[in-house]
Amino acid sequence: MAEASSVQLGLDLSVRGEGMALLVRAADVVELRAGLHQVASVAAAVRDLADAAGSQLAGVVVARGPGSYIGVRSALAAAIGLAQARRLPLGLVGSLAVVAHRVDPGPGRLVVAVGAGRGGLFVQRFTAAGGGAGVRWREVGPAEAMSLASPPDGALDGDLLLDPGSVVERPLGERVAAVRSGEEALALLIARGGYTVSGYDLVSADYGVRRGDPT
Amino acid sequence: MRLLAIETSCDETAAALVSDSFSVESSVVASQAKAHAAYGGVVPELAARMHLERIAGVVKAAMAPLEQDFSALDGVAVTRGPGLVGCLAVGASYAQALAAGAGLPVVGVNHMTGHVLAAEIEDPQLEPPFVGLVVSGGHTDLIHYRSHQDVELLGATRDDAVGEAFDKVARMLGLPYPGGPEIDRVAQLGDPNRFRLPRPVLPNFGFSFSGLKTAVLYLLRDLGEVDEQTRADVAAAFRLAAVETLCLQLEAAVEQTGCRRAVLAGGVASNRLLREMARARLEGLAELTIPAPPLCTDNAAMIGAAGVVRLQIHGFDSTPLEIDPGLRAYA
Ligand SMILES: [Zn+2]
Repeated sequence: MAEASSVQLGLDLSVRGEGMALLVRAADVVELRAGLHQVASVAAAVRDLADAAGSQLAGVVVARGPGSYIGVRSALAAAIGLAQARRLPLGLVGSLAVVAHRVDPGPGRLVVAVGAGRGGLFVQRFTAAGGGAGVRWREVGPAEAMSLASPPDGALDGDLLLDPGSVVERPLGERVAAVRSGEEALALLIARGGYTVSGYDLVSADYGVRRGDPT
Repeated sequence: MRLLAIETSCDETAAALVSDSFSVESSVVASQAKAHAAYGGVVPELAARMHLERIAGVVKAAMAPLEQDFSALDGVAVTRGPGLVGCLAVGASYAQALAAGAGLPVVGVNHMTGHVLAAEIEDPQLEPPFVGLVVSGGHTDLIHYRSHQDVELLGATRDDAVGEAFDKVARMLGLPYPGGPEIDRVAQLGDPNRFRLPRPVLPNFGFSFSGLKTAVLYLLRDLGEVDEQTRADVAAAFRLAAVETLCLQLEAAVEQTGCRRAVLAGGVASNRLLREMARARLEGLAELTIPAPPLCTDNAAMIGAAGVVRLQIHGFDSTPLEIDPGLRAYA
């Protein structure tokens, strides 16, 4: 979706109080608004970035969840609105895939676990895909919601476990340290095309997670 | 001047084009009622998700007369409260990003003021002061609308809103959700005078529809098995009691305030008997404006109308809009 001079707007409000909106050119973050929380701050950031990008804005990529209740819904809604106004393609990326890209893709299985609030946990597995400069983490199935106190047997077994919020206290798997920030991870994922393109008239908002209906 | 208006505060996804003379070029409403019917009421999370999935298409349909040309707009009006938090967040985030992308200003609107000012679409000459009776699933309010900046709540329900009572009584009668239109339909076939139910008129323009609902519960318990005709008679008796209660208080409020104008608004104002009886009761007392039924239930044209009025007084919002799920009605 991008030409050399074009920029993409990335939006990830999955982590409560730590929402981010950014402009990405190639894999570089050229503008960043961080610490976004409520609807107004997100609106202000999107307006700033849309103005800054002007006609170079070539696409919108949004983290579809799972994550913060208001954050994920606000992010999807804002991305749809901006894409519709500018007639841009809308890209969807899993919120835990953004977290995964805080470490370099490599051999083995990466298990990403993040806090889901109210004693819950979102867990998703990744394996490296692609080669050379295009290598990235690819989801193995959707994220799963589970109880932090008693995750199902084997749910957190992996070669690696990335847990930026340190919500998983038991030392399951080898814990890896992030090598880049959340915004750098989102930029990397956008640059490497790690999103699925949707029309702005989104047909299904599943928040990237498997759990009971209707929530 | 032309606004694109967006409404997502509860279970209708809606968009409309409204001019500053209150003419409506388009008004599109995608109702979620069927999806929520299985749960007997609005499921907030399901509502938010359905707004996300429908908002772009609804706006696209509303923008059809302008061939999707956002530069033909002068601004975007959107509901900021009161309402369900996730639903409001979807509408306000979408509307503000759309406006940002199109280089348009935004005006935030109180949903309840929208219900009242739907009357401006029906009668663009309508000017305050007037008495308003706003009746819906969440509200039963009598207001003295002195001016656009001075609205006094004269009285409200002490418990259930009238629309809520319609839903609950419908369930007791084995009728599907939403109960208002169902009771209206069945009551047409019934004798409203076979059973006598109380008129819960309280002092200070108060209402208590919970008591009326309980009276229906006891009546049904006493009746035991009910046939189709009895069911219709109970529905008719309930509808008459609820509607008479509303009209008694509306008439009293008109007399007390001395207003020569009145407005009947909100989803329950689409009830046929209420429309007829309110007109009859206020005959010679006050000129009554009742929006057409599609403008009584939640819609975006009413948000556009309230947006137009707000612009005349305050102009567009100078700072990004925050949602307020508990926003005081008519503020
Ligand atoms: Zn309403």
